[in-house]
Amino acid sequence: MRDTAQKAVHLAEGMGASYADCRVVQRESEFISVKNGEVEELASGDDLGLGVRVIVDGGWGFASTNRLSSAGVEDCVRRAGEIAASGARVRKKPVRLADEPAHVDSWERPVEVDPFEVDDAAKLDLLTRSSRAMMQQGVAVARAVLVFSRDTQVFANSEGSLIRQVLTESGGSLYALAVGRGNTQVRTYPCTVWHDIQGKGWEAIQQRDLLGNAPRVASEAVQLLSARPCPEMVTDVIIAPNELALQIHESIGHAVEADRILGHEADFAGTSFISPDMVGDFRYGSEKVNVFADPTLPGSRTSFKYDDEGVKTRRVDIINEGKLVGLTTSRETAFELGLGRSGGCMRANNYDHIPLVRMPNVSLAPGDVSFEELIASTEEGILLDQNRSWSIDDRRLNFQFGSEVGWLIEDGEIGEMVRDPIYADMTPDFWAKCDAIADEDDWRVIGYACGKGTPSQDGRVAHGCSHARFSGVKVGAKER
Amino acid sequence: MMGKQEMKSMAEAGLKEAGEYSAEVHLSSALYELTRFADGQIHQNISMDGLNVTACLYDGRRSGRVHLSAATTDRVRQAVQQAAEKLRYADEGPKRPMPLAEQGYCEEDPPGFDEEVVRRGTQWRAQAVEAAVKEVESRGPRAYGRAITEVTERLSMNTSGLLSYAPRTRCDLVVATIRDTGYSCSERHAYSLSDIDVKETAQESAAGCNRARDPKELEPQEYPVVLLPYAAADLFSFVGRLGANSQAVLEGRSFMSDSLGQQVISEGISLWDDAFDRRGRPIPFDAEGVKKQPVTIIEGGVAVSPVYNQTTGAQQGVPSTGHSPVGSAFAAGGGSPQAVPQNLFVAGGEDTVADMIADTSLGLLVTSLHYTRTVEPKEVVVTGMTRNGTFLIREGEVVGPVRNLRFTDSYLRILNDVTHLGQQGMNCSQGVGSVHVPAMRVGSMRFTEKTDF
Repeated sequence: MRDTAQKAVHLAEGMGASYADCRVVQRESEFISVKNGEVEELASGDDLGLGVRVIVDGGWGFASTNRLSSAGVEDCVRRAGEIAASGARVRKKPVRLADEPAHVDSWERPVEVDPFEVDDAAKLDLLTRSSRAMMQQGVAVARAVLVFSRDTQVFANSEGSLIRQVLTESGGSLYALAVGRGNTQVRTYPCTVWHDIQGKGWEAIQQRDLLGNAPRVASEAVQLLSARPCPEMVTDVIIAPNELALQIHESIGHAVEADRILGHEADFAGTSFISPDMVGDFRYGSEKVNVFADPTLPGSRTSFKYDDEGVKTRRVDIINEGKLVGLTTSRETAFELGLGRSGGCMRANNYDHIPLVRMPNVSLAPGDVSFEELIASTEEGILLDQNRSWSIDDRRLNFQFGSEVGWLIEDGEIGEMVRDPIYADMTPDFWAKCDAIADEDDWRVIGYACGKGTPSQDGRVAHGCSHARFSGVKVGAKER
Repeated sequence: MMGKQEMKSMAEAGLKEAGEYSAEVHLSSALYELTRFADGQIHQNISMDGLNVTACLYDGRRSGRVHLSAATTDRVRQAVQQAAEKLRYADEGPKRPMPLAEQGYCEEDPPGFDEEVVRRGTQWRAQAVEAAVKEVESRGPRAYGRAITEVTERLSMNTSGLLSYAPRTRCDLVVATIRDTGYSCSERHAYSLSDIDVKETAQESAAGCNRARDPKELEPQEYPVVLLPYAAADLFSFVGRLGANSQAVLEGRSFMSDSLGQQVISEGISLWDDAFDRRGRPIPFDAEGVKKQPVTIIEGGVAVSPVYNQTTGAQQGVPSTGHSPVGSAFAAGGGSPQAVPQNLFVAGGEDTVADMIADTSLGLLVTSLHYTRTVEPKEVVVTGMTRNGTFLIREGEVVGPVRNLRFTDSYLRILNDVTHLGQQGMNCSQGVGSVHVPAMRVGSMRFTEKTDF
């Protein structure tokens, strides 16, 4: 892999590239799904290929291939160079990159139990028993899923970097669908559709106790069929981490991506209400709100030592006591915005896709009250758990989120279950309403995936948070 | 391009490794190229080339599936060997018969393939982007967007005699425009370069952007709405994906689960899937290698039929209609639990957009819908935003742009009150599928929120 990466970089330099990098990636993957006690999918994958980025005549070219013969690699580098040069007539200024030292290193994400060493029979047994434990009356679909992957990747660039990283991840989830007349209800655990993938081994699956949670998940889905719709009200909302992670993702994470701010996604996902001049000045939320991006946090699916353009990662503060102080960046966008070093946020979906600015553990820092105190100090409100639908405008301002379930809170106690809760707000108004955040004991990192870019990349993201309360939020049910 | 013979040889070598098992091999070769621009300058130039294989092995109700990137025959063999290894551990799953024989579509003139895309895709992208940027900037706005060309070859083969092969091309042009507070976007999606008029696309986007500047705030409420094809496509895409997906029907989460044969939307509306209609984005066989059949989903407002793949067809006791979804060209297929229509068509009517506006005393003209997500699948309740130009209509005239609004509503309810249907359909991209749909006017759509732009 190392020889191939270095060869591609040398070829690109020989063709006149002023900068070149190459990632060679091998991805092993496994996906197992059991539905209603029967195997739905037992699949594995093994991808191996390379992606080459070049700057020729001041413009980018990227090419990828899984044809790894000498001819295949040469053709790939040639294509990258040719398409970079073909864009010369639509170029106003040359690409410039923020400085980054050359790194020669090797790093492996720590794993206690290699998930690929656990045999299929044990995995199927866990899923089959979990699925069957959800097959209660009223449940139409009882699905249990395990997903694993390991990337072994080598990065080389024309500035002398040569980096090898091994990134293993593991996820697993439960899904129960209950169907009534004109009413379908879903409960999932621990995370909606992305299986809460963690940068860990089989131990991540053992820690989440799928089998132990299965009866509860199913029974709550059935209970929701007869629950009353969430009442229309303006109230205090406490959002559970598995839902709040997506709220952070959509209304902070994307809004502070430098490529969106520069219009690189204007033709597809959209832009941002943030402009570069707002950094250091704009009040994003209440003083309780502290947000950072930190790929060095251990155990997450976005924990890594170097990003996909060879930048050594570090913590970058995004929001300090409610004030916007930073952005997520790449070498190109950091230079263009005059931000100094890249924040180390560039990640590609696999060898075949171009790296994009992503959200490496963009997280809401813990607060200073326990979860129990958070509930006890809420006179009237609603506790929302698990996202069911999410939508936000193309500048990341107006959003509406729906949850799987809500529990009304009265006089500091969790009470009645309600179905189909949704809440909506404008991003800065919403974060200004954050008046309490649960402490470190309640804080955890949730693994998500994110569609971004063209062609769309199902990128790996993760967000840390604990339960947080927002005062005076408009909530209702889907019928509103 | 590899050609049928080379791909077939690779697949045959793989199938020989299947031993006593039934086996299928799906190969996909693709060259996807993209030129993307922002503020009049190219910022991404991408060329993705790959050959991938998926091998599926069956032994009664047990199965194993392996996906490999596969540049060589040895890798195809390896995929089959690994699938056999998987199968040995597998417990039983749902019954899923394999397609049995040659599927018999025309290989001499494959639908959805234009040799010109192979010959001059790179040149076309560079020229299209340059021309679009010049056209837009000469009219005031800044230009953003992308030009895409793609050439794929797919081959499916199994131990029961199936052999399906098809080359396919794709070309897309998206021109987004921004001028202070004005936004717009125009798109063209086709399989042939000659079907994309670069200048017209850029002019439409620039003109829309100039009209959309300085939008006024408007209170969200229920309004009659004229939906341009980009917006209308979203409604039918959801109705197709959530409603006509036979897995959803079988699980009870589709409106078709209990309304087949009943009126579900306005009686003037017919929706069908036809993967051979060259006005759309043709694709002759599905991810399982089954020839695609035309399926009437809704006729005269009445729910007629969902679409099926091998598994859902077997569960329902009907043949597959060839609707195992074909995903990215870099996924080699091999089936999915879902069965989804990807080549939707909506019958046109007799009205023009001018008629629709003239017949509206107070309402909205909506260009596109953005970030639409399912709130409740059975009633097709969806939330999303308007985008790329929203305009207020008063007394039969467009009086000016308004800020974008959020809606949360049942698409079935909205489509149950279609008052006007446009004459000309337009092919609109929806994920990995397409919807050929005219503009239409609906009696009401529930807007619930507003935003700042």
